[in-house]
Amino acid sequence: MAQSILHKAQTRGFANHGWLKSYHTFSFANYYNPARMNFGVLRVLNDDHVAAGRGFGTHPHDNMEIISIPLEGDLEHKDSMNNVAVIQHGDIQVMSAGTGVYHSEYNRNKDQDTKFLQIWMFPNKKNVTPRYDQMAMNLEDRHNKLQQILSPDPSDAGVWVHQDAWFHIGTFDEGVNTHYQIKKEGNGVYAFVLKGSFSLDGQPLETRDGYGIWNTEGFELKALSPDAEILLMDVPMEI
Amino acid sequence: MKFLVVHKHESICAVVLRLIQQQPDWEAVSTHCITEACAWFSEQHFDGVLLGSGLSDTEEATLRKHFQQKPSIPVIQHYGGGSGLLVGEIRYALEKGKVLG
Repeated sequence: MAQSILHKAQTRGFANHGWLKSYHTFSFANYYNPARMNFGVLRVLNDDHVAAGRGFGTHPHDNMEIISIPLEGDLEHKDSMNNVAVIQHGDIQVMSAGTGVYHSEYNRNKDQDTKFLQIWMFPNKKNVTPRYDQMAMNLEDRHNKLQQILSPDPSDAGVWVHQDAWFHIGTFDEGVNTHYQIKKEGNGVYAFVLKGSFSLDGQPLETRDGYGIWNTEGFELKALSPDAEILLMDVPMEI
Repeated sequence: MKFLVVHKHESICAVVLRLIQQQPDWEAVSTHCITEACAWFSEQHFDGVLLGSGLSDTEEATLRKHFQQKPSIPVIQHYGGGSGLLVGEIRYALEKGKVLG
């Protein structure tokens, strides 16, 4: 029988550092809630607002798959592998921290905030060689359908990660239905509403609500508002 | 609280030590030497062990086998300490007696 967990948007942790306002779906930094540590291998889902001209200074990671999805504005990435790049809405960025990497993320705009999702997953393999990639997705390919933006397979659509995970984003007109089939036995899906409202297997969801569902093969998704947008993260439930 | 940090990446270890020492009543010692880590673990009291990146499978297996001497002490992967995840992982392990990841 399917199991599920609902995380309403307003129950998330919140940190206001002035230049950074961050909502944490799971425990992160000073937000600690032992009941909200992870959903399977999904460990971090931060909804970050970075002020114009500000950003995250250089800091280290290891053995994490780190995914950034810009929602508004853009973000400059620099890392210890000598990558320098800018990501913007429609792009997806992935960094496998592996044996260790340093990076910074800055909003170089002088007059526009940047909003982006910062997502961390435990990898399925430790101490891999650090790597960075980013990809621009065609936004038209997610209208009234789910567009794959991440998978474990380098030859499949979107970026790839060291994990049996698949991410999709879809933007739907009101009333449009779709079915999602979970990609791998033992995986669950964490859905995060980016905009508007949805019904997922009968569960109403509003903007920035999170809903995890597992022990099921798939579910029905219906947009309940115009221009509704959702991110689905299909991840192993066993770490 | 006192922690043993075993690592191979000097500069990341420095960040991890700094983050631990920012917490009231938390302290840590670190080493990249497996033999030294095992000796310190046997001789001293620690509330937790933090493992960093770069340890080979053999080294990690050696450490984990040795740490079974005191099975109540959690062995925690620290993920480099970037952006403040570290404290949550440690608190969870200490409070729940189990480790994520």
